[in-house]
Amino acid sequence: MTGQKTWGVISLWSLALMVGASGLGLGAQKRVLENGLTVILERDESSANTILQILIKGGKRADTPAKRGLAFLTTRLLIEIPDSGKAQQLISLATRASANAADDYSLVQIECLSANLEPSLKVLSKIFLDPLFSGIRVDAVKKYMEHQSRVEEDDSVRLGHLAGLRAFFAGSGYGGSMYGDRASLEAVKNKDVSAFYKSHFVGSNIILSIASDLPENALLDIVGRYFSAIPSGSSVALARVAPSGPEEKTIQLDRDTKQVFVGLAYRLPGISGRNFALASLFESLLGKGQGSRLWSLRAKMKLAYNVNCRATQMQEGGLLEAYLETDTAKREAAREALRSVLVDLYQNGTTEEELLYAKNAVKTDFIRESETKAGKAGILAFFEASGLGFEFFGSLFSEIDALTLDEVNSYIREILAAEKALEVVIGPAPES
Amino acid sequence: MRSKNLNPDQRLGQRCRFFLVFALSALGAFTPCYLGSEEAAKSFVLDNGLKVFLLEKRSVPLVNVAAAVDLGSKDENAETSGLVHVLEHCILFRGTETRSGSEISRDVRRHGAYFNAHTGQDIAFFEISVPASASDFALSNQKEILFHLKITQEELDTEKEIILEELRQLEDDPFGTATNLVYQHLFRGHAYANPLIGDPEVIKNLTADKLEALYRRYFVPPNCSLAVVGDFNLAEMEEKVRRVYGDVKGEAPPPPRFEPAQAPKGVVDLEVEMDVQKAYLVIAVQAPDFNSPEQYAMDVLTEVLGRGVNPLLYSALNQGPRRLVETIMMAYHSHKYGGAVLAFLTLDPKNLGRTKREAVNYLRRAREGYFTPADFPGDEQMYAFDHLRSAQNQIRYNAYESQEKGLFLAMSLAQFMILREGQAQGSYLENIDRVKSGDLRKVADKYFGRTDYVMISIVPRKK
Repeated sequence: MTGQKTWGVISLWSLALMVGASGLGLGAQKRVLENGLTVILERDESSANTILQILIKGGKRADTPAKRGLAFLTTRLLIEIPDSGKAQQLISLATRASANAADDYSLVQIECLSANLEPSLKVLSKIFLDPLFSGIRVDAVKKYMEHQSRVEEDDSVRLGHLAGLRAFFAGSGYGGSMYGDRASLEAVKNKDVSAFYKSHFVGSNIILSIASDLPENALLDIVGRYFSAIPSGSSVALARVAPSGPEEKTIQLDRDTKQVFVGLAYRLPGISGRNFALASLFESLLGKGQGSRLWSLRAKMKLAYNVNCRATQMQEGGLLEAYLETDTAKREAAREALRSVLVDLYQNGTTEEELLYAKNAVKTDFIRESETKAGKAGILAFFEASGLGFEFFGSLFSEIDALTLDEVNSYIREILAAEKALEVVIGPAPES
Repeated sequence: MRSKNLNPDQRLGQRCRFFLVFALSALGAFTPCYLGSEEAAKSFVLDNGLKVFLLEKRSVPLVNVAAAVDLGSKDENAETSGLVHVLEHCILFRGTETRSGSEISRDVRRHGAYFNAHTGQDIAFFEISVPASASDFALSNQKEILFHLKITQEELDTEKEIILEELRQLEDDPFGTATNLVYQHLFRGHAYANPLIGDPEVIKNLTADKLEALYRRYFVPPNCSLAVVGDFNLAEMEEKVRRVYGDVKGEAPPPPRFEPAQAPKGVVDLEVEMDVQKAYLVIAVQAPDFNSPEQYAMDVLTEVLGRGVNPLLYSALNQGPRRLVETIMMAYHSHKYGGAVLAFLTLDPKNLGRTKREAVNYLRRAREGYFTPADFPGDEQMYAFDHLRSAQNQIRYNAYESQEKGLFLAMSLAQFMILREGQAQGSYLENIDRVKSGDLRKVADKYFGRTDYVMISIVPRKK
């Protein structure tokens, strides 16, 4: 793996891998404020820090292909500090705010010492409620997004993911980078940003997820004080994403690199409790770590240092990617070997033993992902925003345990049919 | 630090410094200042010399076991370049006297374990994280891979090819390549200049016998530490550790002799072409070592200049409408015999020359910096930012955050037991809180006020 990930990207990866747990206690509570804003509280005394995540439903899915990047741009502007006085306050408090646009929601994350939560929200909530969308500020964030978009494309793994999204979700907001591209950002005007803000940043469209050592009552009091003024509005109705297969079976992207990225991508069904459990199991079984199916490409066939599988799960679909990075001279061997692993799994399915091991791996990974406050708050909010409900955190282990070998093998046959595969190859152009 | 497995998010990176907050208080008079009331800790040394630290952390049902070996790229030379890294791969993936690599992989998967290793300049790490119910497996597995390795030429030859793939992957990674070059130039003439992955020619020609000799010498209890953090009863875990590890034998290797790292002679300014669209710049200087009392001031200064909220270096390079860089991240790596501060910048390639000049000029002038309102005269104090206080708060936040991660804690404790010399004076956070504005100017003068900067740029390939 290359290690150059921003917080946002790490978050996306983490959420894509999340699975639930009935083996873990669910201490979280849910409240709904009068303006419709959902608050999920998790008391966690493992440190004196507080994580507050503000999820705004919509995310990339709310972008139109012509104006990709709008969700990220609007969300990012909410954490741009408008004057030096407010900046000074936040600097002194050492409170950090970051923004991100995931597939189905935008996200503002606030991290602070618990003792500084209230003074931090006093500053940040004012910006959140009355952001400044001036031309200078919008242009500055657009430049930042263009830059980040290029950095994203300088990494073959991230570029491969984008290629998969573009191929399977071409006509929807899912089918591109959260940063948009030069043309789409040029098409976004200030009035688009204002309109997006007004329609999406309303109580009934927002989930606050908080993990803190502070008592629940104190948290509710603080949240009520600073977020009750958000207008209630109505939840945004988003267009359905029509199923589509990739128009091409193979995408070759030329990069003059030492290694070639070789990947196979498949479309996954939209999120549900069962589909989430199935995709997480499948991802682990196929390519997560030692003993997974792809591991033999590394340990026995010596094709790669990095072999991996990634399941991205979204409300209206998903993407499964199996990939490796190999020496350019091994390109064809890697393509053939990767295909054979997938074909074998498709034709012969998995076994009781392999399934049991994958269940263990997925459940333990989930415990690790939820160990930190940021991880736990993110999982709870993701489940709530995805329509599964935050309570899914407490029931996913039983959802996983209930899956039978037949169900998993049916799922594998449904997903991995050869005619549904997209091959992505990134590296030096092959010699003719 | 090179990670062997597939999850880069759990690597010990620059953040390793933050969790020393715990280690310092833990190994001195243990004061669980911000751990919950349930946690308890104990450190001891087994009769065979293995240093052990146990910490109860009951927030999630996991047990994390981290072993550190006092062996790193510092212990190599031109003829042995990369051997530690190869050895680390073999230990993790190629089998023991009783189990093959495939069997270990199967067992790891069966228990739902996270299993990984890293090679650094000073230390090799081996860690495993399992459900609490599998703690016996975790302890036994780590003992077996660390002290009962079996190296065959066939298995070694297979692993070599994977390592050469890892090397090629690094060559496609802009910041990875730049960091590698920074160390080669910043520590020229010192063991820290040795590349972590090693020399491909040495690796290709490596024999199992040669690797085994290295293994036999260093993988002995007195040269290792073991930290266990997680959901267990302290007394029961102590009994298990003593039972599992008590019978391992081995003599300590002769103590290594390393001089402190010397500063490079003059500026190094290198550009490397890659197929990238943006420029990736790393600017580096030497910094205090792991045991230096200056480490606290350097931590704070790094936060002020390049890590915290609105870092000063970023502001200096992006004044008003002028925008030279897009992102900055500064890291302080402290090693046993030296240290390095690295600033990682991404930018438009056309701004590269100006950014290098202005960044270095700014860092050199940091010794004249005003970091608190009290540094300013008269009425100006009312409008001045308190960067020192902000950085101290940031470090406190990061320290608390590191408390939440069991594996991270285990690795930091294992590292601490190997690298720490002498008794700490107070906890890490107490030392951070003692840092004054004048301390920042002193370390800025000593480490940033020099002319021997190393700058490595990764730039788009010329058409």
